[in-house]
Amino acid sequence: MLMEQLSLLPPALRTGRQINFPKILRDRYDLLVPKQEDGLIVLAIFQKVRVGTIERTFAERIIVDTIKQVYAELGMGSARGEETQKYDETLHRLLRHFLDKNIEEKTYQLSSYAENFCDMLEREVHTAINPSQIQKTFNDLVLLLGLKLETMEDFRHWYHTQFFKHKSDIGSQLRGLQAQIEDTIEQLNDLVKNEHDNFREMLIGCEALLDRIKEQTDKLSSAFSSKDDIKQLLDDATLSEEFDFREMKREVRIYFKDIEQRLINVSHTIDRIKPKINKLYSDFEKRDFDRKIESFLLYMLKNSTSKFGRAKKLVGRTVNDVEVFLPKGMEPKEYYSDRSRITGVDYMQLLEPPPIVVQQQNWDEEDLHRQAEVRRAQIARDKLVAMWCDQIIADVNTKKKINFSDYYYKILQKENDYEAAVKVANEILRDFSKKEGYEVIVSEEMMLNPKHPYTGIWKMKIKNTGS
Amino acid sequence: MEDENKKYGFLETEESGNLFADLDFALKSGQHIQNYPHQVELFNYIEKYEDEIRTYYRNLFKVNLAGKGTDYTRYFFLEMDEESRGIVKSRAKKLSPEYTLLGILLLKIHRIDKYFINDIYVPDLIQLIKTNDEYKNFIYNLFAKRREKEATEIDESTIDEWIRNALKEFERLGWTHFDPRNKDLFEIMPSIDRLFSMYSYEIHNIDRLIDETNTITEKTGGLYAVEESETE
Repeated sequence: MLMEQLSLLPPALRTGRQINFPKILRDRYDLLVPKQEDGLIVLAIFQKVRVGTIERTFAERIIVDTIKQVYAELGMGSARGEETQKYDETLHRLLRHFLDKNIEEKTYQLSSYAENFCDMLEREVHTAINPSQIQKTFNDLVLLLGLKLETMEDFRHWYHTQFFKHKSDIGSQLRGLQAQIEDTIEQLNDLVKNEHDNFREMLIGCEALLDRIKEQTDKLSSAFSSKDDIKQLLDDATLSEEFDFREMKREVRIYFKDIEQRLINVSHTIDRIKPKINKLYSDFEKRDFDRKIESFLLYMLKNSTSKFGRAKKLVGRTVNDVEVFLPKGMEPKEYYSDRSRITGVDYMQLLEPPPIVVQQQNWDEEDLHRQAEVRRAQIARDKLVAMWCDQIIADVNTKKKINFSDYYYKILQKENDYEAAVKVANEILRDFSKKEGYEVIVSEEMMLNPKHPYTGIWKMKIKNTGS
Repeated sequence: MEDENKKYGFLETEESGNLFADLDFALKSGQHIQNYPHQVELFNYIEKYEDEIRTYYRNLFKVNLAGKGTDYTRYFFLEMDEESRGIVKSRAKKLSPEYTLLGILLLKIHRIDKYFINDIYVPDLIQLIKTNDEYKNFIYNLFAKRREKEATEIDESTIDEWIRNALKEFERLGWTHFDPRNKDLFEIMPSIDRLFSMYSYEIHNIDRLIDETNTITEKTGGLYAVEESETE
């Protein structure tokens, strides 16, 4: 019954019969629910009154000015000459429900419907989140409920007045939070999509906003803790026998459950956004840092200068002798290096030696034996030559004078080796020719030996003149 | 006296017997030590006795053992702080301008462009530097005083030489590590970030620096305009 009194909704809506709206609602709907421009004009006047720009009662001129402002804002220009008529029509439309006219004083003021309408509009759009207020509201709800559980009538009153009224307050607080989050997400998406000069500042702004929303959500959650008291009171009530009570109790429980879920959702949304914001930060920091390094590199390369000396010849290549200077005002940086005290030599650019060519060694294994024999014969001959040389030197020193030709044939005879004989001759004659205190006398007299008919040697005497 | 002994007690350990001389030589040569296989023994040794080793260098050599980075990017090196700068000035060495330029260039390529992952093949790097439209002309101008198209064999060798010598110097500092089996392959070590910290002020203020340079250019009637047109 009470529901029907409190609402314009026809009973048919609840019973499922044909809907039959009151005629007045149908006729005046467009006047009660204003078009965008009309609503904004009313809202603008409401805000002007609130901040004190205009008095509570105002002249028609103020309305016309506001209409002009709103039309200009919405880009709704009118053809020349039509403006006055349009302003007049608007004024008359608003006079039906939104403006009250004082005929005597020819002044206007906003109707209480207009004030309620604006208040509702603002609350819907810019809800001032006020957890402490919600806390008080809940306390009141609990307190009153404690007193209203005696009879069904009392409980109905609590349900339809207190609970419904506060339900709307709580709902708008939650919608406010959600709207703030949506705004922030929109801003963040805009940040990601578009290059903004003040990207960092905007990001900081978004983050601060989210922190604030999170804080408010937590406060609201804690303010809602009284809901458990309400549930408890309802559970303990003696009215459980009543069907209506059980229905309304169910409604209350569903409502709180819904609120709880929505608060959790708000928290989760923020928790999901936070890491993305951090990523944006690090991307931005990195992007900014990368850009600066790139700029720094180009600056250094572009503004450094160089001085050229004579070209330097290195192994296998020649290079320019270049001395580079960093840009003006940019100093080479120091690092700790005590190496010179340890090694005594500073780092030097040394010429690189050419790479060693590795020789391929091929062995003819079958020939190795022959080569060994040749080498052994060579060594044997060298020993033989040395032995004969030693003997001749000894003889020169003891006999004072020798005839080398005799030795020559003696070697040939004993050793039967021309090469050895020639080598001994070569060594002995070369040594004694240079040696002080000895003299080599060669006379052009061919010495022959019948045992060696094809060989001849000049007569050569070695004389020891030193002793 | 007892306290003093305790302070440098780490020197008495067996590990110090095996590793301290190598570590000391490396650090005093200006080398950076990091958690990479070729330096892992020295790195673990420093980490184990970090405080003691720091005290040792602070008290006896008036230098700071700095540790930068985290986990796998952590590295150690000796540095002069404000206090020691005046005292040990003679033990400082300057990173030459040409090496500085290659260091920044290498980092830009490696860290930002990410042209390479892990091992970098030196001839690839040389090729890349010589063909990059963004800066090749600046480089040919610096090392050859010519445009790329007019460069002679000597000019090409000069650039090759610059890159190879700089890489050798970075190897000595521990900023790069050459593959012992292939002398043309190297890896950039985390400690190359030291170059960033050296120039962090200039990098962060680069926009202002460029603005100032441009203002000077305007005031001097476009002193750099000729160079610019040459390199474009």
